[in-house]
Amino acid sequence: MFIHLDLQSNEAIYTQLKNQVIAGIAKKELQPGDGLPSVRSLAADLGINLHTVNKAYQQLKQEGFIQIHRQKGVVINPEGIPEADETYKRTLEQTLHPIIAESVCRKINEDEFLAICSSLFLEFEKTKGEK
Amino acid sequence: MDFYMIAILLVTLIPVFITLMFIPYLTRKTESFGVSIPEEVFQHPELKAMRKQYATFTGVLSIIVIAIFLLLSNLLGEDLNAAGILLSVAIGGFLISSFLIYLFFHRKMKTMKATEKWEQQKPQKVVINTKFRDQKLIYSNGWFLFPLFIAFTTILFTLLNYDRIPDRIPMQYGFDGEVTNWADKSYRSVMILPILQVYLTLLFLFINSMVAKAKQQVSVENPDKSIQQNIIFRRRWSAYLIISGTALILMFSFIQLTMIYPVDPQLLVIVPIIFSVGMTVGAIVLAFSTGQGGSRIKTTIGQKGEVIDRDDDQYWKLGQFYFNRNDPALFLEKRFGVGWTINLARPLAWTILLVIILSAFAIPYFLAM
Repeated sequence: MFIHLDLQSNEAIYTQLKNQVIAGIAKKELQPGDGLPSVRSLAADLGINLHTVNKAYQQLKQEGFIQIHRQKGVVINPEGIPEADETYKRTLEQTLHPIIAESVCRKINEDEFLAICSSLFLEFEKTKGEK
Repeated sequence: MDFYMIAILLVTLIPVFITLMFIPYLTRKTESFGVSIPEEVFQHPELKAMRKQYATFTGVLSIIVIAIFLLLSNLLGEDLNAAGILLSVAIGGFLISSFLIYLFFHRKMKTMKATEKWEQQKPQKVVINTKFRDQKLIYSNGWFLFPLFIAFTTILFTLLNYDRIPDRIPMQYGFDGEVTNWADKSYRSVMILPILQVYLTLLFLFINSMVAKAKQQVSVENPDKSIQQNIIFRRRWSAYLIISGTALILMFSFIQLTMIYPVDPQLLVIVPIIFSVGMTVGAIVLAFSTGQGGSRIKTTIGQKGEVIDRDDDQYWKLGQFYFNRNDPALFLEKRFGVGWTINLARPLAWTILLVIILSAFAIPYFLAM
C-alpha cells in the first residue's frame, strides 16, 4: 500500500499516517497479519522524525489496529480489528457532533449530509468487491 | 611519454570526464543541477540548453586538462614519480573546476526556480510503499562467499608456499611494470594482499547491503513506475558489485601468485589495466542505461502529475550534500550523479565512512611495518 504524506498540511503528520493505515485496512489493501515497516525504516523512507512514526504506531496499537512484536515486527492485527463497542459509539457521536453542527450552520440538510456519507462508504465498499 | 603512460591516462581520465560531462542527463527527472523540479519541467527548452551547455563546458575543460597533462608529461620525460603526481593533480584540478562549473549552473537553476515558481502551483507530497522492502531489492550477500573462499584459499596457498617467495616482495609498481617500492618478506608482509582481499570482500558486501537499505525514494507523480524502476536500479548495481568484486579479488590472487610463480612484468601492468577498463566501461554502460534511481529505464508511459515530490532543497547544501537532522536515513540516492551518498547530519554515517577509508590505509601500513 502507498502512504502519501502532505508535509505542508496543517494536519499533523502522525495523524495523516494513522488515518492512511486505517483507510488501507478499510479498503482491504492491508489484510490482517500483513506486515508494516519498522518505525526506523518507515521514518527513514519518509524522511521524518522517529517519534512521529512511533506516535502513530502507538495510537494504532492502542486502538487495536496493529500489533507490535519484538521479533515479528509491526503487523496488522491478525485477529481482525475489534468491533465497535459502546465506548467507540460514544466517541463517534462526540466526533460527529461538531461536524454536524457546522453543517447545520452552513445549511447542509440531513439528506445532503447522508448522501456525502453514503458516497464515502461506497469508496470502501467498491474496493471490497474488487478483491 | 610511452605507451603505458597513455594507457593509464586513457583508463583513468577519460571515463571520469565522460561520466561527469553527462551527469545532468543521468539524474532523476525531478532534479536539475541539484535543484528539485516538477518532472515535466525537465524537458523545458531552457533546461535542455543548460544541460547541453554544461556538457560542452565540462568537455572543453576535459580537453584542456588532457592537453596540459600531455604537454607537461613530455617535459617531465622519464620521471615516473613526477608523472604520478601530475596525474593526481590533473584529476584533482579537473574535479575542482568541474565542481565550479556545476555551481554556476546550480545557482542559475536556483534563480530560475525562484522566478518561475513551478512548485507553488501544485501540492507537494512524499510517498512510500509499505511493501517495498518485502521485495527482492538486491542479489543475495551469499554470492560473496565465493570471493571470500578465493581470499582464504590465497592465504592458505601463500602459507604453504612461503619458502618459495623471494626475500623482497614488491609493494608498488610503476607505470612500466617496474617495482618502485619493496618490503622485506615476513609472515605479515606476505599477507597484505590476502588481507586486503578479505577487507574488499567485506566492503563490497557492506555496499551491497547498503544498496538494499538505502532510502526508498518514490516519485509522487508516478509511484508505480518509479518503484519498478528503482527495484531494477538496485538489482543491477547489486549484480555489478558482485561481479566486479569477484573479479577484483581474482585479480589480487593473480598478483599474489606472481610472487610464487614469476611472470612477465608486462603482464602485471596489462592485467590491472584490462580489469579497470572492464570495470569502468561496465559502470558507464550501467549508469547510462539505468540512470539515477532507474530514471532512464523505459517502463509503462507515465501520466502527467497532479502532485509533485516534496521540495527538500533546503537539506541539500550546494545541491549535493544532504544534511537533514530530522531524517533517520543514513544512506540515500545522490542528487547530482549516479549512486548513493550519506546523510551528513548522522554521526553514524560519518563513522562508517571514516572506518572504511581508514582501514584501507591502515591494513597495508601495519602489515608492511
